[in-house]
Amino acid sequence: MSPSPKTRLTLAVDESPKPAIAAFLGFQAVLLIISGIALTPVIVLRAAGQSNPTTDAWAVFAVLMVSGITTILQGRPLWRFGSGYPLFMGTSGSFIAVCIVAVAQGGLALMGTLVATSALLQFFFAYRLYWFRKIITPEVGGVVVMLIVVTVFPVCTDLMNAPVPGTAPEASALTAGITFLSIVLLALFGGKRLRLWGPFIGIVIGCIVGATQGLFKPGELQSSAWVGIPLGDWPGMDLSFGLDYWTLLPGFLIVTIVGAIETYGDAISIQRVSHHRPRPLSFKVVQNALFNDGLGNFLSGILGTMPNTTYSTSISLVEFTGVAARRVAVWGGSIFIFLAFFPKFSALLRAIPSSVVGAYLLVLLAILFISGLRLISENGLDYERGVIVSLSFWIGVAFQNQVVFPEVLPNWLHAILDNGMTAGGIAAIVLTGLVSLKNRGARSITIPLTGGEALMRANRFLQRHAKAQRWDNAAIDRLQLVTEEAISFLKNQALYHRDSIRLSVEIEEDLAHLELATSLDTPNLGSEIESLSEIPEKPEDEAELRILRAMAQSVEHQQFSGRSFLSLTVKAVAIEDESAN
Amino acid sequence: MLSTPRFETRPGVIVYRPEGRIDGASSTAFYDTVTQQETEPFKQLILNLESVGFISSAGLRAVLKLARWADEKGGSFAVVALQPSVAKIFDIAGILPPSQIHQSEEAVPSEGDASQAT
Repeated sequence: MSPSPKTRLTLAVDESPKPAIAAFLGFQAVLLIISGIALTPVIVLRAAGQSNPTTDAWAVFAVLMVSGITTILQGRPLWRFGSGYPLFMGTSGSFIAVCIVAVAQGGLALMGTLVATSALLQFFFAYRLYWFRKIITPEVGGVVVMLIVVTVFPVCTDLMNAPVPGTAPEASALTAGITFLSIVLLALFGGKRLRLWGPFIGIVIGCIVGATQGLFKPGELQSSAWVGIPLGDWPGMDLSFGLDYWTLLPGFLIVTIVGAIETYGDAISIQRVSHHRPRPLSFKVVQNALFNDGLGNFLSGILGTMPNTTYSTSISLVEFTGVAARRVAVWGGSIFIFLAFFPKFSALLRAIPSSVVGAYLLVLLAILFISGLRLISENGLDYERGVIVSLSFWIGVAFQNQVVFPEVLPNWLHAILDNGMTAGGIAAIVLTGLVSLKNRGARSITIPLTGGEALMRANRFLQRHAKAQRWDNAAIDRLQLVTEEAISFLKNQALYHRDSIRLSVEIEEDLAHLELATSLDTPNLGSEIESLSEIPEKPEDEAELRILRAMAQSVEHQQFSGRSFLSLTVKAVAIEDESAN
Repeated sequence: MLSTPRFETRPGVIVYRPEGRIDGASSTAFYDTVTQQETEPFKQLILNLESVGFISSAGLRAVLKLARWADEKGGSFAVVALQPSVAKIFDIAGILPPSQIHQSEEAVPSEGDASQAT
């Protein structure tokens, strides 16, 4: 195991910038995503033929309130709701297609009921995330994140190319081009401090250029009120649970899982970019991000507006600005709520030319793509993983471009699979599931933590299976040593020992994969090993960690609420052999 | 299974030559065996690990506890004749100072030598 490299971060998640900086960065993030958040419900209502000023106003107000509450919770969690990382929340593009159908058939009331009940699936998914850990892997998250780029890319180019009546044909291209160049140049040559201001400066430059080209339309800005509450009424919920509800529910459930995968990927990526030194992933953070996402969907359903999800741009912004302080999300969420009551402010943001927003989004998508690549490569890209990633990515691209038997697929399947992220995500999950079935050669044993017999039983169990794979005694000693040290770590760190450990081993030629599953609440073994100094400070206390660092080829400790899985690989060589690492 | 035969090679010099594995299952019994047998004062306690092919952190802790116990009893402590796999674990954990680890029983300085050296 080699030490992790340092990241290029100015402020980590648990560091606090000055309030003015945090407010500015929160505002900058809001600036980036507000138009998408506010416009999505309007687009759905217009496409469903249900748009009117009152309904639009309510939907936008509700969506900003929910986005604000859930973004604040991401920054400042309450119980299990919130990741503790600067993950911005907003309307989910994945739901557009199913929401249009629901609104057309039963208005916002039916859509709300479907969204709220689908959220229950997300709560279950979050609660039992470890059941899905073999199929919802970082590779699946990486493919989904890369396909988000593919899916959103046309939106980005549409925004840049959007014709504006009464302006020159090249006006949008010129504005988008200058905005794009400004942001890219600041990102590449700006240095730490200028990088922080890069997106804002790029947008201001874009707006100035747009104004000279006649793209900046302050009409809505002048006519909107400074302070106001929505005129429309709450649409209520359709609790008749009729045929429309049951026919639309499967589509909502699938898209809810896709949204959850997106949040899963974001919650992993944000952890990767938010610490000065990379730390082992916390799946409790992922679960809490999912719970908060589910809460957002549930609230959206009750309020009768579009469902929520985490915004992947949160990760790009952290990488771009170098600031991962959770306080930024608290400010950003507060600004969402503030904007819900200040129509003038929202109108100002919505007045930003589409070409400027599109160019800005283009740069951020490029950065997001890198996050996807990092997720994919973090466990190494062996043949099987490579096939899963490559196939599912291109399946996603193919469906996004609607080139996979478009005449044969029924309409309901089109509605789901025409989103490349959905198609590719499902493909990645199915392929990962198939591979995990293929690899189900693991043998397991449950051993109690009390009594001296446990270790002897574990040793006999390991010896039997390693011998069957023709491992020699010296290699078996190494396997038993790693297992004993791992059990010892779990046992010594746990507060209560009234538990057992499920030990699984799978041996492939000269490599053993061990997994120790337990409900013990312990520190993360990976983190503990990472924090070891070169010279032992407390040799007696650190012995297990030092032995594991030297003897195991890899250590991964996935911790969920109430369950943890310690995975280790051990090479079939003697303890004294130096070639194992 | 671990057996721990005892020898008194010179007056006041006690040598234990355990055979087997010193791991989480046997370390407590190993420590108890030694400490319960030594009721009389001794000058030196030597642990000859020539026949020990496996030691874990639990075993290392038992060895360290023995070193401390010997110190409390007024005797010196040394481990000798480590197998390569056991030496590797001692090296990784850094649990004993090098001055307490020797090639053989003969290489351990006697109490007289040690006091002359100091």
